[in-house]
Amino acid sequence: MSKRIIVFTILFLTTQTVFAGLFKCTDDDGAVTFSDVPCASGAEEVKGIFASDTGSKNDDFAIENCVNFLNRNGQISDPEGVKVQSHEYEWVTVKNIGARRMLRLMVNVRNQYGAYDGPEPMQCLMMGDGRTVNSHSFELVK
Amino acid sequence: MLPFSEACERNKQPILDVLVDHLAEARCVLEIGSGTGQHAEYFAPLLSHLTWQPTDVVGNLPAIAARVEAASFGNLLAPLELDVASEPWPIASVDAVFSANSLHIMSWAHVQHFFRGAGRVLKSGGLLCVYGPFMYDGKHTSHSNAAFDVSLRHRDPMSGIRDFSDLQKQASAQYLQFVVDHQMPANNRLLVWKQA
Repeated sequence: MSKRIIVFTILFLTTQTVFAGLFKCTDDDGAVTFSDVPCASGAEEVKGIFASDTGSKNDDFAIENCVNFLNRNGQISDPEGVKVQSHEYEWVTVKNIGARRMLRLMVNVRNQYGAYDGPEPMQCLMMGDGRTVNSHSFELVK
Repeated sequence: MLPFSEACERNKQPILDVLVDHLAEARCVLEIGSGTGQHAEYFAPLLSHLTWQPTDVVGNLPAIAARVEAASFGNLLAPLELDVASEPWPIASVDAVFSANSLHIMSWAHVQHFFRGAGRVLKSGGLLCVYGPFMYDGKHTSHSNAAFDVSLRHRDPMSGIRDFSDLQKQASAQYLQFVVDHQMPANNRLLVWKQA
């Protein structure tokens, strides 16, 4: 049995987690980490798009790609006020394609009053390269 | 012995890896410039949900026809003659148009015909997928592509590696919306546009 879904499906949950500020810390060797507390050597507070602290370069690209995609499709009202709190992948089976990763983000978006309402889950189906969002309609196979 | 391209053998799997995501909902794909027919022969059985229509200029048809006949896949059709500059094209409406390594061996006028024709035959939501080397902002992406471009233009000054922005203008004129630019092996790209 299969279920047709449209890409850029967004699930709105009632989670009211309070979003803590996140900081991008770069050490002397140039390594970047993300933290919810300021780093010792001074930190840049991240207001745009960023990866979680487990993110590799591929993850960074995929997350940015996903957020841009959601923005283009009107799911994110304020692209300058996007905070990706966490991300994870789930393997799904897509009709006529096969196994692909679904990137699930917890995204906190600034509302029209300039405040953050708390994280909401959003998702993007990734293409075979694992980095590029599939922007077409697709059918998941259960 | 059938014509054979080493480059096709090398790039067919990377191209398929990308196409499979874009063509999941397609039912009929028009290939322009099928060449040796190797891509058609390789893709058709692995994209069994769709029908693959190879085309080329008349001189290349016998070899493609022989390859198609030998393969005998139900979803791989006999090749049709298609000169991009000749109207009408032999197929009226498709879900996707694919072409590999063709735009740099056409004249610019033929490239314009290519986009006009693709825009005309693509259904709403249909995809134009173009594989090959491209320039960006007038610059090549590698020394090997630059050398290849020189050899192309030396052989035929009308041909040559095309600049993405020039292609984008042609696509926009046909209401084709840019979807994605896939980085591919050996300094090639796979560009995808979607018909509005």
